[in-house]
Amino acid sequence: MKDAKRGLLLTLAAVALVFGLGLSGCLQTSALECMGGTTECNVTCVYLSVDPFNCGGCGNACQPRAICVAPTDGGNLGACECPVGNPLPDGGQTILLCDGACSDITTDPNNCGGCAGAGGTVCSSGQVCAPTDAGSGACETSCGTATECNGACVTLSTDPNNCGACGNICPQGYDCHATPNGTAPGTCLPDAVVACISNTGTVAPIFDSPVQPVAGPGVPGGTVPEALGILGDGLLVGAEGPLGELALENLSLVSPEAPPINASGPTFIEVDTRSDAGSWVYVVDGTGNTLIVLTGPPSASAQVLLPDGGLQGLGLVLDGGFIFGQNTDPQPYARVNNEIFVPLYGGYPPNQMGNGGTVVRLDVTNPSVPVVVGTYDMKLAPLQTFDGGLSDPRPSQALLHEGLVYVVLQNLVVDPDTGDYDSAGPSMLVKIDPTQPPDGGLGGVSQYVTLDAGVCLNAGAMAENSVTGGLLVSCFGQAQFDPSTFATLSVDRSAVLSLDVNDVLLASWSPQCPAGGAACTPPIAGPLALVNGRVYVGDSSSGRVFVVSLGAIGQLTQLVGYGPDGGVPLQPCPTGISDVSAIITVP
Amino acid sequence: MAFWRWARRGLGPALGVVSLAWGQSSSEPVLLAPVNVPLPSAPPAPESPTVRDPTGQTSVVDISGRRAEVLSTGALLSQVPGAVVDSSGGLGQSESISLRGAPNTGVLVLLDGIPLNGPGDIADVSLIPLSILGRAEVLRGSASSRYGPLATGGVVNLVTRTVGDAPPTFADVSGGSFGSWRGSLGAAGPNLGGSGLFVLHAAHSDGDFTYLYEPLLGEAPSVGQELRRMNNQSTSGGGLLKQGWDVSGWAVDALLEGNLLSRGLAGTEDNPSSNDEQSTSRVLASVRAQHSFSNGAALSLRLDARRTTDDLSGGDFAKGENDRLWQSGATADLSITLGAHALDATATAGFARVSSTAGSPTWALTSLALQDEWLLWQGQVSLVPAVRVDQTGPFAAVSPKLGVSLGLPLGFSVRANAGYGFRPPSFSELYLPSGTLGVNANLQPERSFSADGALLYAGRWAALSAGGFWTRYQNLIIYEYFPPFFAKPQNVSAADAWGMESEVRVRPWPWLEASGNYTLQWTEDVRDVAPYFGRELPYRPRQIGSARVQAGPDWLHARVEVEGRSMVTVNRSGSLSLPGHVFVNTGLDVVVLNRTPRLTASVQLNNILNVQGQDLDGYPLPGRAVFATLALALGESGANSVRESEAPR
Repeated sequence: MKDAKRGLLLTLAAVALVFGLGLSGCLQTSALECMGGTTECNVTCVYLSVDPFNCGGCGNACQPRAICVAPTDGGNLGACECPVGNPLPDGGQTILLCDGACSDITTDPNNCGGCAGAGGTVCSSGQVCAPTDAGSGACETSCGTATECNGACVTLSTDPNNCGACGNICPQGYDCHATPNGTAPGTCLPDAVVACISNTGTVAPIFDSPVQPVAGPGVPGGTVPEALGILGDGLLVGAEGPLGELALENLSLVSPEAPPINASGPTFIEVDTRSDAGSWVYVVDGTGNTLIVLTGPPSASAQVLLPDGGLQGLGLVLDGGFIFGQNTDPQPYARVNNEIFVPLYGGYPPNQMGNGGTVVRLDVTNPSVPVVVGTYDMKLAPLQTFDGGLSDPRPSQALLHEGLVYVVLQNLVVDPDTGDYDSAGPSMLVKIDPTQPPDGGLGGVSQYVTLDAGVCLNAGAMAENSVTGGLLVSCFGQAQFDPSTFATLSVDRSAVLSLDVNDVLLASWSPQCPAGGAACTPPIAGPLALVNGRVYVGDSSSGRVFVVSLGAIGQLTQLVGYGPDGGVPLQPCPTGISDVSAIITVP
Repeated sequence: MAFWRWARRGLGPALGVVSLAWGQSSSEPVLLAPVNVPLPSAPPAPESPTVRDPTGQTSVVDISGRRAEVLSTGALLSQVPGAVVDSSGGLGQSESISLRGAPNTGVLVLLDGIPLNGPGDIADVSLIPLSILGRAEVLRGSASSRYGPLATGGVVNLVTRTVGDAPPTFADVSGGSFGSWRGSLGAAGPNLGGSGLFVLHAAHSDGDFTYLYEPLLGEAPSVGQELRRMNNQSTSGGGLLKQGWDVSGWAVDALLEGNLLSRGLAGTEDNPSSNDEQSTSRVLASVRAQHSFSNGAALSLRLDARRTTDDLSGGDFAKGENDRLWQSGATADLSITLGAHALDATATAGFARVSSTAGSPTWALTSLALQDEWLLWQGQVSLVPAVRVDQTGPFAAVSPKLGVSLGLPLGFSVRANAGYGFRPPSFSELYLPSGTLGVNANLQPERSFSADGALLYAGRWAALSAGGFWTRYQNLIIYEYFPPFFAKPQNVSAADAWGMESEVRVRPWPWLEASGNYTLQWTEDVRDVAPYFGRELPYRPRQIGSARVQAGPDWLHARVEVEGRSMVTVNRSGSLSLPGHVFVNTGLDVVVLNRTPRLTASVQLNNILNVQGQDLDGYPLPGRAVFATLALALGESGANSVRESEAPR
């Protein structure tokens, strides 16, 4: 008996030792993981490259007005810098580092017109520093029509350092806008918002500038966000599942409301506020093959505080919908009054196109019950092919331009040996006259524009060029991927095209990696958004944003991107593998 | 081995009583009434969970008498507590199983102890026809200490029919909805100096059921479209051959099994495929020799080999994907009883190789396992420590386990276990890209640690078990989005699963039996990026359950079954979900001829409420369906054979 007990104890001890060693060494603890270039700081994943409160390290806050700038070597540790500010005629800048602080020399009374003691002036007591016509600053006796904030003459509706109130500095990535509902002189809002797909979903703000656009740190944006919309002061995010609502002011999540749509893969959101009766939100679900319609009050606000401290939602409720059918994959559409022209991309591969390869014209006079007016068969379009063979036309976006509905048509072919999609020939713009009825074929189609395949393959997105009145077209190009790692090896003829009002090519620009062979994932030109005469080009390869200036005669000049000066594109999305899925301009 | 030890102990006294009765004599012959002495069932094989893991939580599901009712192996396994079967809808379409919240890559599936999963791979149980099966044994919990890789959530041992439980000649044919039919025929009995069994089977289904396509369900007042499921057909056929001999005291068993299947891959509701197809084949062979020595030791030696082919073609597989898997192994199992210790040692050596268009990796597979079943307190308590060391290709793992069982009065007992499991990354995850799914050569094995406990009762007319479990899964391999089109596997996550399982079977009278099971489980992602951290794992319904009642005399059985699951999320953030569903099935068996031949006619109505359900991937499931079966048996099966004993009065 004693031996049995001893044996039992020995056995239990041995087993406990084995388990103890195993448990202590092998069981992972519960923990939040930070990936995609983020680092954990105080149980939150932050971007040390662009977070002004954790710039280059946890808790390292940049001084007021300074921004956290990502390094040019592509690393993850940012550094605090004064923003460049507006350029002066002599080549100088309006924001300088004066005595350790970022100072706006157009309004800072202690460094008016320049740093004190280095060309600037300390305004006397009773004087103010006011902007001059030359873009600099000068001491004056009064601000005139501007507002005085501690000796600075500012405009509360446009000054990002005194936005809506003296001393209210907009966070990085935000600019000072006139308040949409007029309740305050100014509100910090982003100039544009980017949606990113990586292993998580991210939404990030962008501050526009003719000199130095800046991206702010991103926030969670749902699972696989692919569509953005703006309703009042709320940002709508189309992702898997419910429609996300964020407050534009700081991209905070509006809760607890989330309109209960069950989208599988939303590709487009349109907000229609033409009616005084209310707002309508249309969500195109490409994976689910549906159009979902929601309705809300005429003056929705995402800023109403609830008693529990949360934000009240926009008040959207489900109103109606439309089923396009299996394997149709609807895409961003164009609206002409109470009709919408919806491209149907179709299933993959060609023999599963379903009802794709067409454009469906829906009457949404009653948004609850969209009615089919007719269809246009893009498969009949006169696409050219490089080898004279057949091609697979895929309409990927529609846009109302110059009174016509433009549909961008991809021109694809499936390699029978590899199963991969290749470009079969030049992409095309199909122009539909909405005053003509559809007939199921190409009735109503007025013209075709073949895009230059020498600079553009696989056109996919369009935007109106507000500078020239012409059209901008984004071309995805033809990418080669490593078959085992899926890394992008090369991209051929990915570009942004600038067309004039007659659809003639004026200029093209192509995103490029830096010369010299530094490690860089080849970029792919994706979604477009225009802000103040600049076009923001989302990268569908690695989550970057390039900025291109638009010239008066259609020129395209890179403002932010890889360049000989060591410049880098904006990186609002997680580093590594990510994809800019949508960009939207904030009015 | 423990079970057989207990069976032998019980049988001895019973036979002693019979022989005592036989020994009584008087001057006049006395005619005694015939005594039916059922032959004892063959002892369970060494790889049976009831033997290899005597304290483990094992459920046994018998198929005999239910062949007209259960249409697939997945449907059979769905009646086990803790099991979630993901079915792609339609007869012959793929089915995979998850146990206790583990990924479906974390369940080891065996056919008579022979692994059906490739290293680290999912087993498609739809490829195992019911015609060749006698029962399924499902062990839940991390069981790598006894079974090696893949058993992070548990083990399913599918046991083929035996000579003992099959009539000498049998055949059945079924037909029903969606152009479905299946048939099998076989024979069992003395053969080639031993005993043998063969079964041939074939099946086909058009799979063209109608379903309601309602992508806006719950979102907008739109009318759904009634569509017909296309490219959902399947055709299969195959056979099983078993032969056993007694050779100089060694029990030698040979098994040869083959199966061919061709099916359409219909795809999701939203994006169906019109021409994706899959063709598979499997040949499986094993030879085993077992011997019991006079000192009580037992030795089992087995050689097994499996070759499978898997060809994918069609639009989504324009390049074509063709995989050829060879897996072979030798296993030696030695058990010996030393006093209160029943010791067991198992050693295996083998290899696995895949030939595909993307590469041809080969792995060596070796292992050594030890277990001690220590009986204490007059056998009322079993303490069972075990450990196994595995080498699987470039990966090695040590998996310990401790189990304990305690016998209580009145038929009650308590069991508890704690153990480790591991799953190496599969060939596909490491080396073989497929479509838009990439590879990652830096993957590490998944690991699990589980603990469970249960109260059991076994009585004359009822058996039940109720218990709880907790498992921590870590280094989980998840396919992460890799823009613009692809996904790559990464070790990114750890998760907990915990809950309770219960199972009950009652047979208060010979004409009435009822059974049921219920599982309530929670899962939580405990190591992940912010959007997924703290969320429930997708594809793990909170509640699963089924109940079945059968009533009637031997010649007429009526039955009703209810099965259901609760709502389930289908993405890691929990923002997308599928509603729960409840299916009601009913059926009737009538013995038309109760002699030799015995002819049974059955009708089965599935989903009589015509509930429109979806599987976990969003594939539509069939609505109401009816199947009719005729089953013919010539002679009695071995389980029903009797020895008549007569003595002069």
